[in-house]
Amino acid sequence: MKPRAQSEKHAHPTTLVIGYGSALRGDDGVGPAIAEWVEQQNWPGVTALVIHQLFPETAEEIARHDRVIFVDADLGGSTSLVNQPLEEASDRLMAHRCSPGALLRMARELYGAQTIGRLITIPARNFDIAPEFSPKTQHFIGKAQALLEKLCSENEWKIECTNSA
Amino acid sequence: MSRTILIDPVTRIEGHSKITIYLNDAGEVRDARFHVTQFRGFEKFCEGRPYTEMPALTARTCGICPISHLMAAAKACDEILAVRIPETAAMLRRILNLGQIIQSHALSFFHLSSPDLLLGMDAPPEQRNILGLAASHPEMARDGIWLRKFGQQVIEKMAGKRIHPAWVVPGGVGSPLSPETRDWMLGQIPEGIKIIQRVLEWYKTTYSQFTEEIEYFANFPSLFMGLVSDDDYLEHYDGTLRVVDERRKVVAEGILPSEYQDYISEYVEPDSYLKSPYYKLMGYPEGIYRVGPLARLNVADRIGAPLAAVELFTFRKLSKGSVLSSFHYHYARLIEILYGFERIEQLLNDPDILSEHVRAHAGPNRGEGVGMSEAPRGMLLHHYKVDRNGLITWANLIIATGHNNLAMNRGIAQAAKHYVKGDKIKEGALNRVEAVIRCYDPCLSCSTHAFGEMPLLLQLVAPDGKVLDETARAI
Repeated sequence: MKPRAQSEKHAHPTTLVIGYGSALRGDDGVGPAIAEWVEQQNWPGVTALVIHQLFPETAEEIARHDRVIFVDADLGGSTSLVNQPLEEASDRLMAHRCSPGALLRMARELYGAQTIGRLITIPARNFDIAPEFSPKTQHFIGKAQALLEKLCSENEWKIECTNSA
Repeated sequence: MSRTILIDPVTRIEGHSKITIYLNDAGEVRDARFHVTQFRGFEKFCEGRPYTEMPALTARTCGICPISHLMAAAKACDEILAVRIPETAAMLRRILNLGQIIQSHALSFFHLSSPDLLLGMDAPPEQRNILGLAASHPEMARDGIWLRKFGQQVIEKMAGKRIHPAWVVPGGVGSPLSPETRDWMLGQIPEGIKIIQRVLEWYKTTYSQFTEEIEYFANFPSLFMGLVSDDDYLEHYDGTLRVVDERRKVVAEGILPSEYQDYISEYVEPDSYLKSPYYKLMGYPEGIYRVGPLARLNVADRIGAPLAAVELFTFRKLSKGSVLSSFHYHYARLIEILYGFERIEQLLNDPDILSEHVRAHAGPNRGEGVGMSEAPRGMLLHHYKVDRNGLITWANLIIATGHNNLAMNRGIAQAAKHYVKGDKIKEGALNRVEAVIRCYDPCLSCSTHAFGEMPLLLQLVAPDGKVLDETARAI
């Protein structure tokens, strides 16, 4: 794949929304659920990717876009929706499990991409086998959707961080 | 005083394990053991489920090789139905299986093992991974990503999704191949062949730098086991089992799936959840055998794909008999990727590949079925018994990594005896012991049907049981 040249870029930047996690494991499926919702919106220039885990090959897909937004569940006890700029990471990679920051770095190193990224994390309480989200996670789904709509429509990201208790 | 080294967790493999290295009174390595420390018990909780669920259920054993389980499970169910599936369905299953082999081999070689080959066995561990590879050898990293993505896209386009598709069913497949998917695959194949030929050329100029590793990475006489076609070609989906020895002399052949218990017994070691199958006619532990790409190239007489046949000719020059060093699993893996592209192209050009007759329908007509296929890591076997309502009453799964368990243990003992000196674990030695395991590309989630993470622990243990040194690494 050739890296995208500036002249190829659209007036409105292209955005890739990646929702990742297991749809079988309760709140872990919130990222995929939100990415599926994004796909249904048919927003111009926006592509959604629903995946179980982040793979090294996801870097190629990221490199095809100007911007990437990762959507993940956070089991770390957070009580608010977090929207943060994504920095390149140099953490070690597993074969089939990468971090968003490492993928951003791979997109640049392998494909010359200048993709910028955001990470949205949604508070989660239960990763056990369950077909539904916990009330806590459910509470934040609408807020995450509204945030994504705003981020995807903005030509330039202005929101640095969103905390919504 | 004898001592023990423990490697825990073993890194860059699929699953969780640890390695214990035992020292004797003189401080020399006496033995080494590979322990798989996770357990899930898939065979037991299959009981009571309808046989029709088995492909989808057992595919959940693993997120890396679900297609392999789909194949073996569906074939076991075909036996329970007592049907011969439509030829087009068999061809489509073959293509799907080859897509799985390509993506899995690409993952093993490029993502897990090539950092050792390109950056060196002694390179710092924080660099010796796919991210380090991307920084130092971006073309190689891109090649690996392209090949893996192709295999995954084959699975996704044919079966509906990359992980845990439900397209392979008892009696055939769920839907015919679309012309668009056939044309897409045919359009990708030239690029795939170009990439893997480039990598093979590089590999052939590189592996000679690893003469010491070739000599000590599980390089010993053993049996090799794999499927071959009726006319002795390399086979991944059907055929019968053949066993050859270190001279490539046939020990047994024409073994039908239903006869496996006459040739394979399973031993349970006290320190691992991974079963230790052995060749029954030679007993335990003498009946040690290897499966997987190295074994498949050792057991097959011919390969049936012109470019891969040239590579097989070169591969054969490594030894007058069977190629014995497990280091050459890497080479065999690359040859099988090339074969996969050629074979997929052959199958896609079959005039019946778009036939809509892709499934035979029947109810349970037999109380028992055995399915065998070649997973990326070696022969995979599913054996089910059902009651008259088609509910599973008993299940046995023998996984490729299990077949290789005895060989992996012998291999790490050989490597440890050569590389581990004294009572401290040096990084280069640690990595080489782990790299022996990586040659086999074990999938411990599958082989123990296990649950959970899988880092690696290495321990150095004295004769009195005292742990002298240990290295525990997260993935």
